[in-house]
Amino acid sequence: MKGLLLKDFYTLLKQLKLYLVFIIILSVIPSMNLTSIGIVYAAMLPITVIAFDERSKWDQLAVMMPYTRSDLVFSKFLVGYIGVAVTCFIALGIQTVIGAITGQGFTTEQVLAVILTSFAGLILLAINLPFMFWLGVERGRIVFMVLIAGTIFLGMMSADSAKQIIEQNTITPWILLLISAASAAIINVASVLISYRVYQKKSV
Amino acid sequence: MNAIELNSVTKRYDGFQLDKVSFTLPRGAILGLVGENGAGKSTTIKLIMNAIRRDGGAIRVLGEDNTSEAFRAVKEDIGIVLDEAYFPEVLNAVQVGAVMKQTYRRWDNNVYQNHLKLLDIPQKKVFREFSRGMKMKLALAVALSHQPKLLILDEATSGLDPMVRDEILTLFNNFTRNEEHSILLSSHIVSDLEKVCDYIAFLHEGKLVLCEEKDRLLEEYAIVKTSQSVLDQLSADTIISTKSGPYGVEALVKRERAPHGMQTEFTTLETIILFLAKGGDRA
Repeated sequence: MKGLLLKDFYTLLKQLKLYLVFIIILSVIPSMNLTSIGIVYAAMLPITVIAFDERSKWDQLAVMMPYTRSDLVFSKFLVGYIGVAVTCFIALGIQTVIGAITGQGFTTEQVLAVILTSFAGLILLAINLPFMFWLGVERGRIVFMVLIAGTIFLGMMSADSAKQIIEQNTITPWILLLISAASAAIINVASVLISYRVYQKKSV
Repeated sequence: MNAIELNSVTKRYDGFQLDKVSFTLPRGAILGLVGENGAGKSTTIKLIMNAIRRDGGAIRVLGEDNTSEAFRAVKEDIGIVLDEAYFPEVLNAVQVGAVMKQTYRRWDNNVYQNHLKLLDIPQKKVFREFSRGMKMKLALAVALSHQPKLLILDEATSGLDPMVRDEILTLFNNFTRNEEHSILLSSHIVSDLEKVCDYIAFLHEGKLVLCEEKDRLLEEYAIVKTSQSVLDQLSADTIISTKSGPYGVEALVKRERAPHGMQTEFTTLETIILFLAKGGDRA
């Protein structure tokens, strides 16, 4: 598994350098929407890796190495998890530093918003990856674009009601965090299992 | 113990079937899997490595059933080079080495570095900028650097210039100096196989036409150039295949069955394969 992650890291190295600059800039600008873009981008990193793998037919070679098909699948999820986690920490870290410099405290809502966005990114990743393993990147990307459009639409539709629920204290931020964490975990476990199944049957 | 054993292996696709293929690669030997494009060579290699599911038959590699859990450990002992399946194109040779160090338990970086030098492979150039020859040489350097007992090479020499092919064939010969080391080499370049192989397996349209020791094959078959009327007098089991031309008829015959006094010529592996594959008015 370490070998696969290292291979993915080298594959993404060029993008990661640009991405690091990108996420630092986004984190400095006090806008949650921009941080969200960074997190969604991180959740898409496995797709970039799969695209490179497809182009070089790496999977054909990798299944003949001492890896299982499950290793090949799970390593892509790990790339997404690491990407989202690192982005989340960078965003929180930079906002903490800015808060310390400006003397303005870091609100619970801000922390919560970053973490909730990270869970949303993980859910997006979990919905997306089985399609990539099943259809390949070219056709899988179309599914991804539809998902993004759908997510944005649903987000816009439900943002006000979610805000109302929180403001009316019918659901506390911590319960919301717990629900999001549980949803992300359940959807990811299901996604990993579906992806294993899809990839086992796939002729690479 | 044999390095590879295939017993009635079958794989069905729409429009193609690998049909009950059986052959054995003894330890310490090089077996050349020859056949035209689409004959089933790559499918056979994928089946041997359990990269695709077979529809029938049994395969053992280095003593293990290749569908068993234990086969994962066996893969440590197999060096693999595939035609047109490479490392991601943005990696360089140093990065490939670092990845392989985390992949194979017995990865030997000194051996890898020696092969990079020996084969003149640039360390920092990204894979995308490699020529086909360099790509194959890097794949071979990787395959040889984790102390494999078996090399499986799919069209490793095709598309390469004669100098590079010769370098690679020399590496194969050096590898099999150790009696425990074996090679399965698929190619449609029969002359390369003739140079290095101990055994030849010939696949044609998904069927195994022959699998024999190369030297025995060259002794067993001969070419006869004569007239049709002379050939007509020979028994059916003497003539393997014939080819008519403007100056007479050429036939591939079983040397020992040819009548005493009949003039026969020694043949090459390529000629035998060509006769078996398409030369036949009678086969």
